[in-house]
Amino acid sequence: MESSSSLKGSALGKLVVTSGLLHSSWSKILEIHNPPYSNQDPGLQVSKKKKDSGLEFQIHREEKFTLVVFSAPPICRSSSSDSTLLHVKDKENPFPFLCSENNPSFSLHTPAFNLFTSASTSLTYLKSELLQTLKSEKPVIITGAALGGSVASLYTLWLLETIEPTLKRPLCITFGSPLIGDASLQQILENSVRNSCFLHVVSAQTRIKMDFFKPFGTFLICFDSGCVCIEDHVAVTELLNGVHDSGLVDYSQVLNRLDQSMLSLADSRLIPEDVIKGIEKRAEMKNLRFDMMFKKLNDMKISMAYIEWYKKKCKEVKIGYYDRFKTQLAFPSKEFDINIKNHHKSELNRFWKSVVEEVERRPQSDASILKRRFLFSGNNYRRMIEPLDIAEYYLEGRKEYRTTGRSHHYVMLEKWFGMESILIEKERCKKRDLSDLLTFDSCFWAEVEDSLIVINQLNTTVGMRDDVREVLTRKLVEFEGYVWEIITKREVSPEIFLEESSFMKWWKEYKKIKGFNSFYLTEFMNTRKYESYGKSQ
Amino acid sequence: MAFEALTGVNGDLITISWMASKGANQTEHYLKEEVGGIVFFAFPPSFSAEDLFATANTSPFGEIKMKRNQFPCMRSIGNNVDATVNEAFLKNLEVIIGPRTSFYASVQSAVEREQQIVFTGHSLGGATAILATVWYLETYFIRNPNVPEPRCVTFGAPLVGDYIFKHALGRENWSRFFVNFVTRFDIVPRIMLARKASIEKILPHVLGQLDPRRASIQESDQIITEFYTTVMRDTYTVASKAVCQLIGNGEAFLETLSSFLELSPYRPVGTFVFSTQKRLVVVNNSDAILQMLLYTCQSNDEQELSLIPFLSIRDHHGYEELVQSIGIKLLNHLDLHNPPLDGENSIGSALNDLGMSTRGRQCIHAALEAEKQRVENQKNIETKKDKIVERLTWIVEKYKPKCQTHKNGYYDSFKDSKEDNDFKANVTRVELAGIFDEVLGLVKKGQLPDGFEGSGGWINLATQYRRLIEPLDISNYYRHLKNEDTGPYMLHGRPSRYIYAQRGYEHRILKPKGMIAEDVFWNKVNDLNLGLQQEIQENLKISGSKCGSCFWAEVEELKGKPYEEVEVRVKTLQGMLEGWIRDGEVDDKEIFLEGSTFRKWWNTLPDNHRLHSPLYLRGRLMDETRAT
Repeated sequence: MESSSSLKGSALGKLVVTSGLLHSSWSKILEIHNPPYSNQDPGLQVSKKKKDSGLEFQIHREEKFTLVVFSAPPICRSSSSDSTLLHVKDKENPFPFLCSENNPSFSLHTPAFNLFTSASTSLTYLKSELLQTLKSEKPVIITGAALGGSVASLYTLWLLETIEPTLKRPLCITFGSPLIGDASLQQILENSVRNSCFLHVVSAQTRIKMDFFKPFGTFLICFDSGCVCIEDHVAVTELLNGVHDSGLVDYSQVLNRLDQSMLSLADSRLIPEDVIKGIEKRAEMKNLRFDMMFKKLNDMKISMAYIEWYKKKCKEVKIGYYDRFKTQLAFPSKEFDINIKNHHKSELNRFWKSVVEEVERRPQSDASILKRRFLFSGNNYRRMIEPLDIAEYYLEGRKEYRTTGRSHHYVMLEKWFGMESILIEKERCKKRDLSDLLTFDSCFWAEVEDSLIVINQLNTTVGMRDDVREVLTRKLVEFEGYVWEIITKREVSPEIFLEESSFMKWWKEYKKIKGFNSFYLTEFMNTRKYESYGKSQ
Repeated sequence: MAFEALTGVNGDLITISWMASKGANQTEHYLKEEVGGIVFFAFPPSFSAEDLFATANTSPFGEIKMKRNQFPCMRSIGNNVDATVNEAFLKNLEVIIGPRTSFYASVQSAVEREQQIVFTGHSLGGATAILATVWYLETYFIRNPNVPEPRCVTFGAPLVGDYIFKHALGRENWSRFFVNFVTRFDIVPRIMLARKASIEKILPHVLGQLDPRRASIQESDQIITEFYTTVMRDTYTVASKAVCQLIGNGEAFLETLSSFLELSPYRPVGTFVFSTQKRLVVVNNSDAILQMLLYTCQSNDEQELSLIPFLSIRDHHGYEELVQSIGIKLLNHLDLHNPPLDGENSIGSALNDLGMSTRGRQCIHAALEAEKQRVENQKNIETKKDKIVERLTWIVEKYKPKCQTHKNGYYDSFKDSKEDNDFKANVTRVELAGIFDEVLGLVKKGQLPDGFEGSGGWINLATQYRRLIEPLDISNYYRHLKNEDTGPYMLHGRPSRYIYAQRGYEHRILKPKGMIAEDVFWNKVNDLNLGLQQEIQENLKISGSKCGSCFWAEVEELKGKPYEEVEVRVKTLQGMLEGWIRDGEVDDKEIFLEGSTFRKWWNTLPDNHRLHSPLYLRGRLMDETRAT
């Protein structure tokens, strides 16, 4: 019995063929290459052929959709495998939005890229026009054959930057076009919904050199007796990789043969069994990865509920959850504490590390959708759990957490979720009761610990040189300034003022060293104003 | 007889149906026959194009949404989408049930005598029969338990309604009333899968050929061939898309591609009986039937292949022969127990007779497997019922009574979250949300059997869950002041799992009355006589008074606002309260407790309001009113 992947490939292929989209595209491609005399199609717009580059495009406004056709001169053999490297920071890079954290640069097929940039002015104009079309709910097809299709692909990639998720996505249909991107671009697109906007029609006889350029998008591979539609790029490579075949394929004939094969309904196995098996295995892996992430979200909420409760219980006995966790780590006694550490905290960390990994795989603009989805929960997690990681860190006798000990995923969470949410939160904190507030800066306790270490150095080092003493004291003053700032901004949890907290320990020691020479904080602390900190105003 | 077991109708009933359908050709609207206490209503076919595509209809398939107040069951409950049907067919039904014919009175009298009714018809008459059956079910069957089950028998009928039409019939367990006979190549059951634009021009010619009163057809009619090819190409697209969805995983490429496709929404409903020379093949699965409509038109034989366009017309008149052969032909049932891929069994040979290729069988297999998966999904949910019940029981038996002793009730206790039990309740809330969200995901994607949303057990459980736990979600929402960030609970905060549960409950209690929730709510509001209807509607746009379990959300929203501003909402809330308490939507042991948010807010209302409140008059809130 044949597998469902094989059935899917065949059903999708039939869907594409019977939809008539290939014929609509191909007929317009024929038209741009052999313009009919005095054809005054009212919906037709023709671009002026650029003399130097030879790139040309036409827009056809059909009843159901708009078609954009690209046409390019035959490719020059000597330059056919040249590539252009584009980095996210390049000013000349038209595609910085595609770069991901993992792949900050990628390479493009030079002939296609040069044609694309040579026409940038008219293409910019076309872009805004097509966006209008898409906003009016009319879908757009972008198409081209051979090198024209490569430029169509580049253009579609570029257009996709500005297409919001609510709009209909355009579809790029190429016929026998050279591949345009390297392995990095392939990796980036593999994790993006953009990959779904490309349909590459290729005759099964064609062999494409894939040593540098790699396929992305969906491929319709046309055999004599039928066709298959495959998205899995490993399988595409397995089926099409080979010595480049320069023989020209007439896609008019290919399409006609496909139509015939639809009617006769003969079934033949088009893809070897082992290729199918590979497709299936990879699809399963990918699904697993995704299911994990979304199914686990609810378990994570439960774990957060436990830790929230832990925090509340600690507060009842007048100790911050940070300090309680620290002492319990040193002298574990209650099951509740152990559970928090071994189960809930470690589960949460594992989950959020995987979310961050997932986001890092995606192109910047796709990632933002995912980020938005996890905005509040991610922020909450970081502020709630990172202090516990800090407690562990300093208990092991280490220091300078923020610069040397911080896990990468916290850095990214702060970077991504920070900007947007802080603006909202700042407004909110002005009036509200802060008793449930989680300190904005999740590294606050690391700063406290580092200051305690400095105090310890000052107190215990015998015969410390004056300049060293001055440097260390300045560090403490800086910390004081930092604390005073987050207090006045109401960005710190009132729990830091609980009698037994590490922060209060710091304050008592600091007071001894500095005397009463500091400014605001002294008054705030000495007059016990902190007791009313965070009450609603 | 096996045939009756599979289809719910016996040979005699089919024969009489066919005779009546044939007889109806001569009538304008319908033909009534009474045989052995059963009343047959047969509808005549039509062969004019405007009876296939309503003239003024601009949709690509001549479709239109069904009106909810006329057909309250014909929708997807949770997703809240009405079924779509062919407008021309629906218009035809409206003429028949209208005052110009005696049909309504005839049905009425059969109902009064508690006689079984069979609706039947050939060709477009079959489409009318399907809609007449639905009308009968909605008008009589749901309201009166004594009304006998109807039957609907069609011969070469076109498809009538969309996926939701099929889903709704499945949910109400009504699909079993419909039996559709299809001769192998008959074009009419496939016509509605084609785009109107692609067949419109040649349709009149083809309908003329299909009309038995016209001259006989020629084998080499080019227009017929063109028509057949066009219909089958569109059928091919629809069927391929369906397969991709059945075995797919929500692939983005399919989604991108789909916005370029115009696909027929129509789907088969009920049981289909396909006939070949030797056999009858019975199929119930709508997805499988759709694939069969495509793949039974294949042939390995070149000569037969070129004849199919002609046969597609001729077979539309092959039903007399089919009916006569019912007792003689071999019978096969295509379902999961008789998998189509196994060549050895009799279904294998039946599919051979139908000319089905390996690919075709795989598609049917995929359709049956998808249904099997839906059943699996439901089983998986059933295993979680115990856990749900256990958690809810804890809330009812432990948490609520414990909170009541503190005189503020579980809503307010949860809001303060000072006790260990509040924490436990919070974990319970999140755990249950996980389970119900999982179910919700399956319902949204149609990955449960059609009957799931209609199952009483599940509706009961979801209702209990909604009444007990939604107050905790509301409490959580206002505890974290989410209303300040994202607005009122009712606007953006209410989780879909409660909205779906509410719709399921409302459907179950209103179905026997043939009413819809929206109307019931506004009727109640109108009875309160609060002033201008339009103003009131504006006032209550996002009000929690629309559902009892949202009581607390409404209280929270009203409590900070000046009375004058929200008078209409306050009065609506109190007007609804007695009903909610009676139905068990709101717990009167909770809300009137001294420390409750409701009671505290109530005490801030003007004396004048409280003294004239029905709550005061009924003695529910007497104490503190006396005290003031």
